[in-house]
Amino acid sequence: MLMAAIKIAAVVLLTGVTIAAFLTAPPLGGMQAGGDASRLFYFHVPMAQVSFVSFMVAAVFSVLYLRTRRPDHDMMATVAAELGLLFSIVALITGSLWAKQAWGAYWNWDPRQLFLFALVLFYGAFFALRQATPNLDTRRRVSAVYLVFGGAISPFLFFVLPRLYRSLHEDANQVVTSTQSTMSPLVGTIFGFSSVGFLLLYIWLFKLGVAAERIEQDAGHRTV
Amino acid sequence: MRKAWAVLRKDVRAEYRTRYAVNALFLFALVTLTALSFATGGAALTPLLAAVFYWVILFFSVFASLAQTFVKESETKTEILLKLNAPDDAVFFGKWTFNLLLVILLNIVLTPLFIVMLNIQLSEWGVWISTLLLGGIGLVSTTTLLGALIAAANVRGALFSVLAFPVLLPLLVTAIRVSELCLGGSAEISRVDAYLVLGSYAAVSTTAAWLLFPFVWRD
Amino acid sequence: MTASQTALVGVLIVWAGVVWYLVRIDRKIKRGGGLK
Repeated sequence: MLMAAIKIAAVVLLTGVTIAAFLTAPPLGGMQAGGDASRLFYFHVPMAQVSFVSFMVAAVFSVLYLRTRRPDHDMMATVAAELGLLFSIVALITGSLWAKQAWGAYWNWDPRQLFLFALVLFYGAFFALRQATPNLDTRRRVSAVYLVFGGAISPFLFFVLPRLYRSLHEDANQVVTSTQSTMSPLVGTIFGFSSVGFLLLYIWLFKLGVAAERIEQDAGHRTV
Repeated sequence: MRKAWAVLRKDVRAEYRTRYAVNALFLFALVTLTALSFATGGAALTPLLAAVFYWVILFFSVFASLAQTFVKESETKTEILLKLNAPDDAVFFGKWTFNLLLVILLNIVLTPLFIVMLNIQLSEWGVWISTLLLGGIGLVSTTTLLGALIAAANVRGALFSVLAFPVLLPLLVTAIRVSELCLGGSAEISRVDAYLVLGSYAAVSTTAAWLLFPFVWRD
Repeated sequence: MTASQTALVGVLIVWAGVVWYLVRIDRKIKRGGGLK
């Protein structure tokens, strides 16, 4: 079955990646990139990618909800948002920890950090909106609209911010972009496995979340 | 289109009578600007800081006043009349134009005051004005949609800032960077890039807001 | 914190995040009356 394959693959990949991350040489050479801390590259970047994917997933389910008005769609959008929030917070923390080692400070106004922070704000605003809206139908409707609007804008955060800051003296950014293009095959492979592994993990957690939400709602309770 | 004009005229007339939004807008901007100029005490501002001040004043003035354009409708019970008499598009563009006019007006007043009170040198007027215009459009589109959203959700106005900030972040950052250029700062960003970003943001936000508005306006 | 410690802490945080979510799921299922 597909789901079983996904779960097994996720576990295998992520275990393998974790082992490889610590047994191989640090992916980004030199103290400039944080030395050992750069091992977080294999975890931080895929998680950031997934948090963005999750945003898109949530936006798609929101569009579906607006068209079909099926509560299921709203529920799935919310689960995607929960996971997105989780992944983006973890990505932000791991990124800051790494940044402290590599660039000397936890926060550097790097466009990618800003992007992750904006994602966290987005998700947070989404949940704040839901909390503040007592009427259920209205809650679903407005949070769906917000997510879709955010989804339309998010490419700007993702693609535009890095462009804008390119001429800044952000050595950090240059290190990341230049090393990524000169990544050794081994680093590239591990990173690739990690990206896929985290994506599969996301799918697994998403299915779990939806199932749990259904069980809870069937029994008459509701969290969001 | 005609209906949009009618919505606009109604709003302008109502506004002229009570001057509620306009007062809030200008008062907020003036107070913030004054506070800032006292705080800096005549010391010279770097171009970046000056750009930041301008856009933050602009943003928060808009948050404080324009966010309420729809709340006003539900408060004065004119909401139902509006829903019955005008198509969604008309309502949206009527409100949108009203908000845009206010923002333009604010900029016309704010820029000279800004120059005078904070002792600013403004070169590149063309870039400054087009940035204000393009940025203003993006700002207004977002504000109009989200303002309708919080009115529909019946939530406190404070939530508006929470919702609006992540969405407006790319706009804010870009606008500040290119404004910095006009104020004598270093060329951290190319003008072409800035226009592209501001222009496409204006286009995307306006289209998305226009398409999503009916879902907020109608149950 | 040294660079190596940072890497370990980072992975731990990833792990903690996943566990947190699983606990949350577990609570939802319990509230819903358990798995059938």
